[in-house]
Amino acid sequence: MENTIFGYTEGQIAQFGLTFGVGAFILYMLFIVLNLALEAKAGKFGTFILFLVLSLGMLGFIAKNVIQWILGI
Amino acid sequence: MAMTSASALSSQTPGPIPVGLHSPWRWLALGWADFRRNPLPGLVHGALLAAFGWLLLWAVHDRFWLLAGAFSGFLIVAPILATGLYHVSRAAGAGRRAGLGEVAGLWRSGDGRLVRFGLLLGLAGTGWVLTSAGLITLWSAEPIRQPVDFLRHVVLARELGLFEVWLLLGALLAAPVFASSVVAIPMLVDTSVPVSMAVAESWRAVADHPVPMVLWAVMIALLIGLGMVTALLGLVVLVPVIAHASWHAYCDLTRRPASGHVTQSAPA
Repeated sequence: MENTIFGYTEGQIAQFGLTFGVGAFILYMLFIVLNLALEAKAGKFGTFILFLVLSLGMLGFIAKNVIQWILGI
Repeated sequence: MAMTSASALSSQTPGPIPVGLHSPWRWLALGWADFRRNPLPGLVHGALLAAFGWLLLWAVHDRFWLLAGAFSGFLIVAPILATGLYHVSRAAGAGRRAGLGEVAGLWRSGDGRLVRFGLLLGLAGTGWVLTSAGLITLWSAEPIRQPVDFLRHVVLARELGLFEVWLLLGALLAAPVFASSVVAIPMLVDTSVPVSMAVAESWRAVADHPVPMVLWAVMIALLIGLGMVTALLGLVVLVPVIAHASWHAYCDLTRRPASGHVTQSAPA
């Protein structure tokens, strides 16, 4: 029988950790990019490009994972 | 009675407020309200765009590069195709209900500036498809001929690399296209300024509010993606809502009163 903690298996806990961990990491990356844009004096349009590229990149990364999840890969 | 309904329409459309992170949500809510108030022009636009998408899918569904080229061009030029809906929102702001005949009149006017801008957007779309084809052909170990090849060997590739670079490149190319058109296209409908001035105003507006505009661009991408995964059916409603919302974005970004009427020059 598989060991559980508070009724959750190790795999489920790892999955929660990964989901929330990646979410927190994405927020942290946004914070880093904002800091980078401010310190490098990228200007407001540079900030727009940095954030847009990062945001759409993340959106695509999430879409890739969702498609993989739907297809059961 | 007509006056009463006109006043009611006008009073339901609030004037511009300073742009912040809350603004994209406000624009979407105002766009939804415009759509509900006068749904017919929006539904006709949305249905025509979705039908054109189905036609593309039917015609070139097994030829990936043709499909990618046609869809990219279609999405990039879509804001020009939705200009009739900016006019519907403008009329609602002025307390009038614009019918399909009035929208068709706008199209029949054959504004050369909108045609020129549409051609420029088409050129940008072609540039993106060629760049994208070059990147994928050079990088991918497998030949990409059908949409399923792209899904299997690029999108769902286990290793990080091609898909991520393709996305970043797409976002990098999308940034100037979005910045050039977000304010420019409604402004070309609303005023008689030349294309260069409208584009300059658009870039200024984006540079003044970088983070809200990123949020707005991401929301548009998400909604269009949502419309596409519903076999394009969702686009019937989402395209008009986004188009009406884009009009309100223009009003807030240029501080144009929603009920006002601008005919000559762009705001400084």
